[in-house]
Amino acid sequence: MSPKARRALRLLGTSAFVALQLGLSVVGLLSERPAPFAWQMYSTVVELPSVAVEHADGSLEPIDLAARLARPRAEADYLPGVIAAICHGPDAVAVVATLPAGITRQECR
Amino acid sequence: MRALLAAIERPTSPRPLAIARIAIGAVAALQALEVAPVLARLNDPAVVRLPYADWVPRVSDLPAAVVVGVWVALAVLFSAGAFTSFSGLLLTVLLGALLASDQQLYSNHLYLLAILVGVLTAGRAGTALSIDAHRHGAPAMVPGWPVLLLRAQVSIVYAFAGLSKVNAVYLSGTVVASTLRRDGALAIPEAWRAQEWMMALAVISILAEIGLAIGLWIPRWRPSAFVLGVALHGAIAIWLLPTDQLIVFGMMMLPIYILFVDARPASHVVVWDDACTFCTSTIRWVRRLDWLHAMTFAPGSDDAVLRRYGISRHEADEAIQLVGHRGRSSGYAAMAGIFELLPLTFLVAPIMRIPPISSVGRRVYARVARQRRCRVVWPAGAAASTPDGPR
Repeated sequence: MSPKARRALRLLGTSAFVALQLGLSVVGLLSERPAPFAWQMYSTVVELPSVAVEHADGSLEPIDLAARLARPRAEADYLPGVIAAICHGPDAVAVVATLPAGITRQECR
Repeated sequence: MRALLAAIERPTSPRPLAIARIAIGAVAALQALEVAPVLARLNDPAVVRLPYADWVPRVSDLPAAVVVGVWVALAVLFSAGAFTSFSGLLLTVLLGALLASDQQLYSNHLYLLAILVGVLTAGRAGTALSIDAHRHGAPAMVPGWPVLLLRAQVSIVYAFAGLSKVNAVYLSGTVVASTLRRDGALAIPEAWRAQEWMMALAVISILAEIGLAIGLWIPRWRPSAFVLGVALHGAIAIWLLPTDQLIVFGMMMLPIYILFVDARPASHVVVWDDACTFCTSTIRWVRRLDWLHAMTFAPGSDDAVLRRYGISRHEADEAIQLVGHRGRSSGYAAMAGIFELLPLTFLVAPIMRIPPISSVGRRVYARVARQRRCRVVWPAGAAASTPDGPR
């Protein structure tokens, strides 16, 4: 590789790295806290939602979400995975989750 | 654009990068131990998996002991500078694969670690202070782009950590209050957790982070930024939870500060009293700890040396002299300047310039200088270490 091409590659690589880091961080800044890949450590407090499984007889059984997760992360979108796992169990008709935005009920298929 | 190109191409010593590599490799090994329980949990069939996409290969499905074992082995090799390109590349791939495996494995620390190892590997940080350098020799200089990238990375982390905290929840003090230590000798008493104090701490932490992002780039502010960084990381590790993660985070950020130190090879000259045994032994230690090779050492008994640097005989006899690109300093100020160039002390050395530490330090230096013992060369020609009393 010629010195000129090497210089151009270094310039391109350095600019791309900084642009990517800045871009991800700016996008994260405009998103809900905390966004991943955006250095938003300790930027807010996020509580785990309370989740319950609805059985065929209509009864609700609370689920200990902390026991079902390897490490609760505020950045993680864990509800779809949790709902799928709970619905996989016997006698589950639906999953009811209480979130800050309200209560959601997801039927198991 | 021209300034950016110059910074990218500027030849730089490989030693600061090597010191960062040693530290980051050690931190990578520690991080493995921190992540090990999460990996073990992910091996539990009762635990929910949260992949980003189904097609992503899941390293987290491998036995946790195997993943952690490989991780630690690669981190140790990387830190020691053994097969650095290979161990660094594999470590970067492993960390990237872990991050991509499951959302629960994401942490800003792991993400930062992957970036730091990747940039250090690509930037040939194994070419000095390493087993590789011992086997193949070290280049005198390497291109400056990895230094620039790592500096930028540190600044981006601080800047966005600060900016993302500018929100109602954080500014209300709730986050600080909920993460403050509640148990143990270092717990903050309940009476001190008033909302006003928590709000004040929230604002101070934001200002500190944004101040660091800017201050590290400004030579005049840099020494203060070093001290602020140590204080910030020390304080959050002591008073916030979880302690282990915050210690690892501090250990990841602070070693990168070495890349902000203006310590080009042989950029400073230390002129010391070579007739003094105490001074000689002090200089011997300084030489050993000058891992950046930023200093050259010249004996004060050499008139040619004194003439070259414009130092009078009286000045050389009175106090140690440090000559650098910012001029000459002597005595206690020179010692502070020397400590600011040593990798083990550069972060805290600026404290030596703050009153009243500086005035106490100057007095202590003057006292030691008066009482130091000198070697006398006897007429017979044989050198002997003999005390001749205070001078």
